[in-house]
Amino acid sequence: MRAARARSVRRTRGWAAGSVLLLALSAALAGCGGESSGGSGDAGRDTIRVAVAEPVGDLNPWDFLGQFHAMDLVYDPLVAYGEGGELEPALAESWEVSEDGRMVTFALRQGVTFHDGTAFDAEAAKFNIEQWAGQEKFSFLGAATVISSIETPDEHTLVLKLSEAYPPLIQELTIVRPVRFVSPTSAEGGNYTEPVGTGPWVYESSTDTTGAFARNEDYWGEKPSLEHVEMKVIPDSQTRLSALRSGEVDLIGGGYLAPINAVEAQTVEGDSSLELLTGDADTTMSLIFNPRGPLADPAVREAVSLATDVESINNVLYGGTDNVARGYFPPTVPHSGTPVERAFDPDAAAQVLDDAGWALDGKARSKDGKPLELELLLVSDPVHGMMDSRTVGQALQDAFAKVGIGVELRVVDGAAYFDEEAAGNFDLAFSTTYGAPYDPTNTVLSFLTSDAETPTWTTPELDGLVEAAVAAREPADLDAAYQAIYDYLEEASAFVPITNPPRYYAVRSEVDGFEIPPHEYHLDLTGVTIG
Amino acid sequence: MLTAVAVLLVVTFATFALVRATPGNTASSIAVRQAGPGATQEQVDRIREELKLDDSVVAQYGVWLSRAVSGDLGRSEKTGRPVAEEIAEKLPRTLFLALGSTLIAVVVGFAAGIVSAAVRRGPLPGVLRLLALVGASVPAFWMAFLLIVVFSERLGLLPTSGQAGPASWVMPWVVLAVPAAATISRVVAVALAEALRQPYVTAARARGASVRSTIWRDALPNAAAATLNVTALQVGMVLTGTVVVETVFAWPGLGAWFVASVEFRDNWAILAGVLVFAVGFILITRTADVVQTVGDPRLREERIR
Repeated sequence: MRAARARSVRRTRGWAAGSVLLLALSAALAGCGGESSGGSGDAGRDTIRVAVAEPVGDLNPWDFLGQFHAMDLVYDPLVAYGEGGELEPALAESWEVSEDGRMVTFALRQGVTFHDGTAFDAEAAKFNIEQWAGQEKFSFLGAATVISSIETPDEHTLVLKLSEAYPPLIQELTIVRPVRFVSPTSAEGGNYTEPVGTGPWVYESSTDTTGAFARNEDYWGEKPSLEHVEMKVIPDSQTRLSALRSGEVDLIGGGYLAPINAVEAQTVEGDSSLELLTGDADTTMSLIFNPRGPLADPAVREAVSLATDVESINNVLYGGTDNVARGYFPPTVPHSGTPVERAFDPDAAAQVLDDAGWALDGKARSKDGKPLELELLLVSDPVHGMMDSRTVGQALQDAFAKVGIGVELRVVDGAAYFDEEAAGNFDLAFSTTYGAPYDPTNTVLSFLTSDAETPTWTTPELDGLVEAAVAAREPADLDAAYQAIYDYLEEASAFVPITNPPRYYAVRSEVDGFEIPPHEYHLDLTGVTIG
Repeated sequence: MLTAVAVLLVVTFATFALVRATPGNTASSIAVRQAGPGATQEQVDRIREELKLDDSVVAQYGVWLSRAVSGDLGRSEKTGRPVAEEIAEKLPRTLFLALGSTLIAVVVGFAAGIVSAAVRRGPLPGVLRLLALVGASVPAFWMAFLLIVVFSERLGLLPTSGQAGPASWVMPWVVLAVPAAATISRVVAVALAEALRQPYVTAARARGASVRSTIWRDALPNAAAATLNVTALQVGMVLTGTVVVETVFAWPGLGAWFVASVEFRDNWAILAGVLVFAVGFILITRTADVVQTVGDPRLREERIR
């Protein structure tokens, strides 16, 4: 018996020792891997190192997996989104919309080639568009649902025939996916293989921690001054800032690229080896209401609006009032309408509630036996567009208590936040508009219509107003139609716009020529030089 | 072996049931995380079908289990890559951190513990005790950021993050090792002090053995056996500590990957991650058991398979 046990002990020892050794060996090999560190001088003056929050991933333009900015470097759109929503030629030199709005003709730029040498022509364009137009997978994009046929009368002319007039189409063609162009040779038969585009940068390689791009020597447009782009994946924003300060990377920032929060931005400002760039906001963060429950009463909504000190909140968040929101969209969004100055008047708020029958009993109010208690849903791990609203939440709780509105705070994580909003398990929550280049169309369609999953405000009347705005064609009509929406929302005290969050980018001081792009999905490194 | 398998099943199922029960684990929510602006119904339906979110927890778990035993750990909803591939890529990196820091913790912990128990006079034992207390109490992420600020930003000696050669191993190893070393040092100090009070030590000294050799040959082996359990526990703590350390230092290992998967509600990835960590813990405790029998002859006889 003892012999048997001794043998089994030896076997186990052998097994345990063996597995530990195997693990140690693989660990040692893994430790020797990884990219070599670029010290602050090593990278040279022809390479820019950008810290990014997400790996490059799968750059298939017809799927949802890869990093937007890597795709933006490598693929071009037909039309580019410029400052303030100005639409500029890119792969299309010019375009014309027919009288009835159901036909769009593009004159394609000549002499453009993909990185693999394939010519970019009408056939290549058609091939790409066919991969997403009419596909259920992309039905969030109006363009995908209205394109009924694509014609190529000659090599450099592309004609899109639409099932109905859809004025936002051209702007939708500026986004990153799925509307950009991959070489038909490399994506033969519609099967994406490699990220071969027409863009200013050529994809070289990527891992789950790196990305490497080289200048496109045959680019049709302005060629970048730098020769290489290196991406380093650093998921934590504080660590990204440390990497910038220690000279390991040259650029961070952007809402999706490598976000910097307001506190980190202040640190950058205080550091003389760095430069903080602050761009005009393209989103609005608002306090939204669930129309079921106490907020069905317009008096309560009005009171909440009057009791919200938007200026103080912005002071706390950004140290100033530059970012106070004055409407559903910030001024940089096309057709953002007339700004509205909001009154902060707690006395008036109390009065409105009194008049509506919400009687004050001690500190709390109630009407017909129902207490005025609201639940404010907050998110604990905000991604872009979801500001860390807990401080703001507490400030609001305090302010509303002063006029007799009881607020309970409930914090959930990002994934849960969406579900809770969709299920309507809240009274108050924060919501942010999509931002450029999706606005104003996609935000109003996604948040102000009756089939919205997480609506900001919806009524049948509003549906009609949104439909009219989306269908409007002339600039004057567009302005008027969108203004009608904003006026309607204002009348109904449908939400409280709070802030237009600033767009932060930070570079090392030796980086020259970096300009904040017109939208957060664009990484423009063309005019950049270092040192 | 059977108990190990049973433990794995229970742990993976229980964790998974918790994840399923958490809000935010719906196809719509995952679709929104995936697609950014614009998640379509088609996408939502596809995710629901892929992840079997319509099925009951048991059924969904059953699907995963039946695939897992044949080696198919599913696809990540976040990256589209096979989960097994991501684990194969990231696990060695985490092991590198965990084993390296455990080694450091054991060496430093034992050294500090021995000195603490053997030195009778002077301030040293007290200082070591204080250091151990601080080391065990300091939060890992705070220590991590502090080290980065001092050694990377101010002094420029070490890289802030990433897996970039030996210089980049130092801070992650230190942050992981410090709490473990602190605990080990205290346990060793106490156990060794206890062992040094035993009659056989007095006897050895009476026979003329030096202080040094009594520590090494007589007291320490007896103390070591008692500390092995604690050390094994510390390896477990180090493994879970990698979650924070990898995130701060942008170390592309399994810990950070697991946290990201949970945030994303990447169902199959979460299950696979729990499985890997559970297997890891089982291996650690088994190894500790075995090492203990090696160290303590009394246990060899009693060892039950």
